[in-house]
Amino acid sequence: MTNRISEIVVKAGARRSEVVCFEHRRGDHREQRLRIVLEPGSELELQELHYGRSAGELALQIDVELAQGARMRHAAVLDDPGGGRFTTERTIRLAGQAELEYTRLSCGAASDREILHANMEGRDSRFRHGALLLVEPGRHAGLELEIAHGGRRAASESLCRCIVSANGSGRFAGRIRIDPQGQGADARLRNDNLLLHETARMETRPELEVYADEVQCAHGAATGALDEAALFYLRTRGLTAPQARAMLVRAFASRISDAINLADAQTMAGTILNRALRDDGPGRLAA
Amino acid sequence: MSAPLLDIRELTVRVEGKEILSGLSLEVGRGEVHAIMGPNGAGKSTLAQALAGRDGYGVSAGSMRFDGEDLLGMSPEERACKGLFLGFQYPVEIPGVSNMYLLRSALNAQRKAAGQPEINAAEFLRRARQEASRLKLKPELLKRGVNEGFSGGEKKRNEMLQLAVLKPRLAVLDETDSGLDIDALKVVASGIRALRDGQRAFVLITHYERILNLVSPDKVHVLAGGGIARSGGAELVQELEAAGYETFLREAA
Ligand SMILES: Nc1ncnc2c1ncn2[C@@H]1O[C@H](COP(=O)(O)OP(=O)(O)OP(=O)(O)O)[C@@H](O)[C@H]1O
Ligand SMILES: [Mg+2]
Repeated sequence: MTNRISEIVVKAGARRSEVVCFEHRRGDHREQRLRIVLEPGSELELQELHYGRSAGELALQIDVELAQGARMRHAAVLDDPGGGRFTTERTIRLAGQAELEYTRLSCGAASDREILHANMEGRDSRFRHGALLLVEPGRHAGLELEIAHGGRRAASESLCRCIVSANGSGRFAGRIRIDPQGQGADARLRNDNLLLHETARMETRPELEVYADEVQCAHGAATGALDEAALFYLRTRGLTAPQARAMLVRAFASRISDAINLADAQTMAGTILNRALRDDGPGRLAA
Repeated sequence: MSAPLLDIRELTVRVEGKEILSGLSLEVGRGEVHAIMGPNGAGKSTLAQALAGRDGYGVSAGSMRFDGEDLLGMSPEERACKGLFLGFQYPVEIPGVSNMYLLRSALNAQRKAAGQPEINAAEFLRRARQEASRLKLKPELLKRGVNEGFSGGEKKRNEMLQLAVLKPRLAVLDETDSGLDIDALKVVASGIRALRDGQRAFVLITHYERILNLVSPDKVHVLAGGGIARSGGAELVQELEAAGYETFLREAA
C-alpha cells in the first residue's frame, strides 16, 4: 500500500497552471490525497490526468478550496483499460465570488466511481460542472453528487452524461440542496444517458431539496437509445450505420467533451473519443 | 429503350402491421419530373420512406428498381450512394452534429462509394457557401447543429442545400415546398430546373399547385386507396384544385 499526499497552494493574487498526473499501475493498492488551495483572488488552471492500467483498488481523495474571488478551471481525464476499481472522493468549497469550472471525462477501469460534494458557502459563488462517463462493455461508472447552496445568490450548473455499452452499467445519484441561507440560488442539475445496447443499464436519481424560498432550480434526467429517426436521416445521406452511430454518440458527448479545452487534457480526451468511436472498424462504443 | 430510372411494381408496404400501400406501381423515366398528390394519410410519405429504405416499412410484395437494380436488398446508405435522395417532410434535428460537417461527411461518403477521393476542404467550403447563398440560407445555419432550432422554412431550404451539394440522380422531395415563403419557393423551383439535365429525375410530393406551376411536371399522380388512383399531365392539378379528392376517396372506399 502506497500513501501519498500532495498539495497545490496558489498564493493570493497569483495565477498558475498545473498538470497533475496519476499513473495507474497493475497490482497497485493505494490511497492518494491531493489538496488544492486557492488563496483570495488567485487563479488556477488544473489538468488532472489519470492513465495506465489498474488492477485492485485505488482510492483518491481530492479537496479543493477556493477563497474569496478565486477562480479555477479544472479538467480531469481518466483513461484506464485495466480491471481496477477506482474511487474518487472529491470535496469542493467555494467562498464568496469564487468561480470553479470542473469537467471530468472518464473511460475505463472496471469500476469508476466519483463521490463529489460541493459546498457553495460564499455569496455569489459559481460552479459549473460537467461529467462524461464512457462505460465500455461490462464496466461500471457512477457519480454521486451533492451540491449544497449555503451562500446567497450562488449559481451552480451540473450536467452529467453517461454513454453505456453492452453489459455495462452507469449510476447517477445527484442532489442539489438549498439551505435556508441560500436565498437567490440558481441551480441546475441534469443527467442524460445514452444506452448503446439493450443490455446496458442505467440508474438515475436526480433530487432537489430546497429550504429557501427565493430560488430558481431545475433538475431532470433522461435515458434512451440512439434516435432511430436521426440514424435513418444520416444513412439516407450516405453514411454507413457505424459512421452514423459514431456521429450521434460523438454529438451526445460533445456537450461535455468540448468543455475540456486545456491542452493535455484535450488531447487525451480526443484520443479516448477517437478510439472509442472509430467508425471505420470495431470502435469499442459505437460498434 | 432503356429501363426507367425508377420502376415500382405492385408495391405493398405495411407499417406497424397496417397495410398502407397495396400494389402501387409507378415509373419515372430519366430527366422527368413527376408530382404525387393525394389526401393526408394516403401513404405518400410511406412510399418515400420505403424508397429510402427505412426500417419498419416492410415491403411484403412487389418490387422497386432503381436504374435497373433491385432496391429491396440495399441499405439506406447504398441507395443514397447510388444516387437516390429523400427530402424529408419532417427533417430531423441533430444537435451536436454541425450542418457543414454532415454535408461534407455525406458528400465524402458518396464519393468514396463511387471510388473518388475526398473533396478538397477549401473547394467544399466554397461550394457549400455558394449553394447556401443561392438558397438564401443564412451562413450561421451552416455552423449550427443539423436543423437545430431551424424554422420550418429553413429546414426545407437545408434539405435543398443537401440536394444541391449531393446532386443525386433521383430526388424524392416530400413536401419540401410546404412551409416555404414565396421567394424560397422560387429559389427551390429554379434549383430543380437548374438540376434538370435530361438525366436527373424528380418526384415532388406536394399538396400545392404553386410549386408545380413553377416546375411544370411531366406527369401528375394521385395517390389514394393504397395506390396510384389516377395519372395525368399538368392539367390534372387544375382538376384536383376544383374537385378535391372526394371522388378518389369514394372509389377507394
Ligand atoms: N409508424 C407508423 N405507425 C402507424 N401508422 C403509421 C406509421 N407511419 C405512418 N402511419 C400511417 O400510415 C398512413 C399513411 O401515412 P403517410 O405519412 O404516408 O401519409 P401522407 O400521404 O404522407 O400524408 P400527409 O399528406 O399528411 O403527409 C397514415 O394513416 C399514418 O397514420
Ligand atoms: Mg406525408
